[in-house]
Amino acid sequence: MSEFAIQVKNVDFSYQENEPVLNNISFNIKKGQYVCLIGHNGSGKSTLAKLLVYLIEPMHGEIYINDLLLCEENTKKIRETVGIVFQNPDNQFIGSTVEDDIAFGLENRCVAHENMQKIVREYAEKVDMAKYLEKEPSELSGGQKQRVAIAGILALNLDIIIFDEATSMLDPEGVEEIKRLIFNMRKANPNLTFISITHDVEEAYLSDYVILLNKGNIYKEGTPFEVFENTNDLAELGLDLPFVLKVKKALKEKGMNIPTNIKSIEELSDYLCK
Amino acid sequence: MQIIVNNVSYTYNVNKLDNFEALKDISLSIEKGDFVALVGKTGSGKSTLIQTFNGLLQPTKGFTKIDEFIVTSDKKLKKKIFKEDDLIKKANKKAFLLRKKVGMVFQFPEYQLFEQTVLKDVMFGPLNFKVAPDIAKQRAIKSLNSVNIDESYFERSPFELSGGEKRRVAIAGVLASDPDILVLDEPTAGLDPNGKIEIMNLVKKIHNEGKTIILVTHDMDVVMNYANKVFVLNDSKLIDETTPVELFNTKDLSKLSLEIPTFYKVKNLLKNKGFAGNLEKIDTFDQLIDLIYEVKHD
Repeated sequence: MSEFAIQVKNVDFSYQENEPVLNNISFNIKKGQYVCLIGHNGSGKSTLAKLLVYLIEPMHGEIYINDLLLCEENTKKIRETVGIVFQNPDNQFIGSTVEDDIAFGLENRCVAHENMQKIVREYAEKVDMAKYLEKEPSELSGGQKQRVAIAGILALNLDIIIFDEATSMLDPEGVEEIKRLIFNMRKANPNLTFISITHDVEEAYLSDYVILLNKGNIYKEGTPFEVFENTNDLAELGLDLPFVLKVKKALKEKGMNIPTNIKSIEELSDYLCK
Repeated sequence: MQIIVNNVSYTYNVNKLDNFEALKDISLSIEKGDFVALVGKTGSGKSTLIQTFNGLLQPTKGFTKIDEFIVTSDKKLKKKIFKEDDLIKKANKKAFLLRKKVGMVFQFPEYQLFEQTVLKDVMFGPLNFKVAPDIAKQRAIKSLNSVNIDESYFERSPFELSGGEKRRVAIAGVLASDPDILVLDEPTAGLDPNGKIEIMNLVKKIHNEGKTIILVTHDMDVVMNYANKVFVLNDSKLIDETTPVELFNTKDLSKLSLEIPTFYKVKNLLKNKGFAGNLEKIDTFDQLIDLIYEVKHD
């Protein structure tokens, strides 16, 4: 077994002829990392996510999940390894109630009934939806449906989880709750690889590894430091600068340097108040 | 006042076991030309409240008044108001016109596009209000122009467009009915920073044309940069009416489940850790940088 959870090798993809969405993409993701996939709307992030869970197939190139080639015969194994939560919860609510929906993936894996009930309850509680187990999707808000979708994936105890803007309809407190939940799951299982497709540069700035897509190509990849500190054209790529970097750059223009090891706003304010 | 919300309560599933009071005795008013932000955590009642502005929901108690239109399900109250004011009574005979006055852009409006072409989709609103087809077309073209959708897109299927483009087409569809008041529910959700700025600049432009804007949002940066008035809802109640500067400087936002814009988080951290400069009058990024430089450079 290699150290990589995901290996993407020279992958091309297009929905229509002569309009490539992804262009000869290659990258590796190490096991246990928190990886952020960033880029403007239409840069190919979601297409890439769909390729990683084998909802669509590359035109050229290969993708390996835990050293296993993505292909028809391996579908079952792949589904047991990697799961995704999409942005629009209405497209992924399958059960007639919250309880059924969270149970759906477990049923597919033939989890015993008593056990299943326990797991469903446990994860419904984790995403704060235990009160709503009997509710139908039509009675839930967008944010609540997103919570259900998240519980359904987390309950499967997968090695690789992908969130494609999965918390876009939650309020900030809800987003924080889900982030804490992921943090705790990663602590309990250091092998859990988490991929977040996001526009939140603050989240990306604090992650392990960042892949920056632009117009179907990898524009840059590396640690947040490598990607953000040395890229001068983030705005043109449809991205904000993390706040701390904005401060650093503005002060640098005035001739004042802030040490590079300062990354969070807490560290920044500590430094400035010394 | 253009909108008056008068002691409004709203209960979902009245007379049923699982009834839920989503609005509790809310009173507020909005002036013509305001740029209002409605904030509060999920389930606080924001979306319920805005739906009483165009009659999609009728308050269980109290009433919402939009110019001369009265929205309430309390028949006695309605009768009383009509008795007192004949003009209001007359206007409310054509209550459907309220939908024209108040344009609603719901969350992820791009999911509501349905026609074969962009132009047809935008024409749907005016046609529905019985506007003649040629005039409806003119208005559709005008509103597509105002959201910067170019003519080459008019005959394309709306489903072929990018997320940001779809959203602008959906907004054009609402603008085509020429509403006086535009209500937007989370217009920036799911957009990248450029898309966000594009949409918000568009909303600002519409506001400059004299329309009242009511925005439901979790994005405090949007509140900080665009709104002139903020209403805070919590647990179905209105708990504060304020301005963005006051909200971020003086209120305990974590109690309100609102996210503080990063700028104010840093300002508070510096204050609490005893920063050696006077942060009192610092309300923009540039002021903050100048102050840090002044205090820290040697």
